[in-house]
Amino acid sequence: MIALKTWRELRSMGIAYILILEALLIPAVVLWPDLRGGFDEITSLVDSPLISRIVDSIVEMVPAEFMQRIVRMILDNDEETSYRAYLAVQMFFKGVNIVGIAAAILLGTGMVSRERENQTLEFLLSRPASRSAILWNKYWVTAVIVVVPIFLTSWSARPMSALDPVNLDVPLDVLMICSFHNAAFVLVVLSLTTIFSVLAKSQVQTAFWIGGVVILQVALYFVQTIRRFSAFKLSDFDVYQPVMIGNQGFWELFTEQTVWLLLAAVVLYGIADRLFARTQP
Amino acid sequence: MTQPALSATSVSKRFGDFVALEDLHLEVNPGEVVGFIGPNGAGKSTFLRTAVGLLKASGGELSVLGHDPARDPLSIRKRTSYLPGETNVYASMTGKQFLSFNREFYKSQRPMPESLREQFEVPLDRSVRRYSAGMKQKVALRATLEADVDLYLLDEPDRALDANARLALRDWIQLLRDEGRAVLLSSHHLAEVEALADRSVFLLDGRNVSDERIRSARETLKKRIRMQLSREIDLPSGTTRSSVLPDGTIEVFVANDPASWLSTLPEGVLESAEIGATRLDDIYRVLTEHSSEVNA
Repeated sequence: MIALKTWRELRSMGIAYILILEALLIPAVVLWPDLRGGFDEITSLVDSPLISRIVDSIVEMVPAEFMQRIVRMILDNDEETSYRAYLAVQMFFKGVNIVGIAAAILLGTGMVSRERENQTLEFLLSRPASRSAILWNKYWVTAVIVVVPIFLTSWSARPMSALDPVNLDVPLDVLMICSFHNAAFVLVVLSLTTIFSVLAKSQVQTAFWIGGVVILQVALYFVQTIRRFSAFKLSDFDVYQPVMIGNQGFWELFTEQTVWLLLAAVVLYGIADRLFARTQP
Repeated sequence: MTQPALSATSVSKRFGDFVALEDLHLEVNPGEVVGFIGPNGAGKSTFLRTAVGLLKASGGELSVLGHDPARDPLSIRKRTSYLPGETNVYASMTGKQFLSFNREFYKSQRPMPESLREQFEVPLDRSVRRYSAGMKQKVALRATLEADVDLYLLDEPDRALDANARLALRDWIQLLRDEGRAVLLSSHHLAEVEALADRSVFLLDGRNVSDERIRSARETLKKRIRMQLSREIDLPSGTTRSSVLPDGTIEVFVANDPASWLSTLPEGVLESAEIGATRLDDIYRVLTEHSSEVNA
């Protein structure tokens, strides 16, 4: 019943979220041939050492080192490799990392704090249901609403890419591996949001706290010397690109990174559960 | 002997340095309606929250339906229906969805008596967001009282209700009592409590008001006279306190026999007089006046 209530409250936002993810992906895919055409014109000139140096100089003018690598990857001679690197950026590094995290925050902030703000928490907590069951039923429905669109959108990239004018094959398994990892990253954000939602007096306060954490992490990511301390290093181009071009398989990524993200999500949720057990309405 | 539905012995609750409850004693038996009376901040809501395990008592013994709320709140909540005082119903739901949501938590339901349906009528297909405060309270009450449980803990159940709905609520609670359910009723409408409760427990500053103090309040009230005079006069000696009420009635407390004191008034001045009072709100007034005098 709590799960159904949560679903009713969040479903419209969930639908809006999946539409935004698709709305970001469709133009990115459709515009690929034009982009690639432009790249091809540049790379056709690279045979000349002078032009090659000019292109390198232009790439080095790109402000961040990780962006330079992205541009170099997308300039790859092999169109399929180039396109997959481009999709890693559009779909995962940009799309889910921005919209998915925004959804986790927007949907997660109200989990408990909205009940407190609307003065319904005391009513809910005094029903014959354990606090763990209350929080879990709210959490898992929110998690499903946040995570499923990631898989659906990345799945849709495959038929979209196979159609004119792109006509490129993107294996489903690489899309799903990246989606799984990206979903784990978003779950970490959702679990952290849940902690703040349990502690905060209002939804705005929750959003302020989790927003502060995310902005700090983004700021860290954009400073090259301290980028390794940013959580976004665990979900950036360097994570998705090797999987997308087939250089890294599921188990390699899972054991090296994804498992730690899942563990972090579980630990953070466990903390939220313990805090919720002690919370006063 | 029947086990009490709720039994509190010397219960205390502290929030840091603030003492919300101190040495509170209370018992509610099956088939009994107990009024729980006290001014704002007396600790009534804190006690009700403690009884359903939302707060943990700092000391004393509390047993609800044979369970300790701190250790086994779920067993208590399965057999208890609690209406919080400062609560709201979900604005995102319709009235019907809210009732159905609440129903899912309880094993069985006892539908609202047909005779009360009219007074508790609310447009259930409408979003709660568009309800008035009274409609919200009616839906919350229906959700609470339709749960088939042994103990009902009601914090200000008559809040925002119109007169008809208040009378219907009175009937509904009487029905629960007749069925052997226990009800602890916290209310500011002392007339409602007086009409319903088998007995009442007064709470001031988190403590029970002692029987001795209530007796003393009753004694004080026996020496109270409320009277209308035809003209202004200097009151004869023998009063301990006097005041003029907003409607012009003069209220005096006398040291000795009220009838003898009345006989000392000049002839023809007295239009009407009422000696003594045993109504709950009078007792409450004397007790709280005394409390504020002590605190001052």
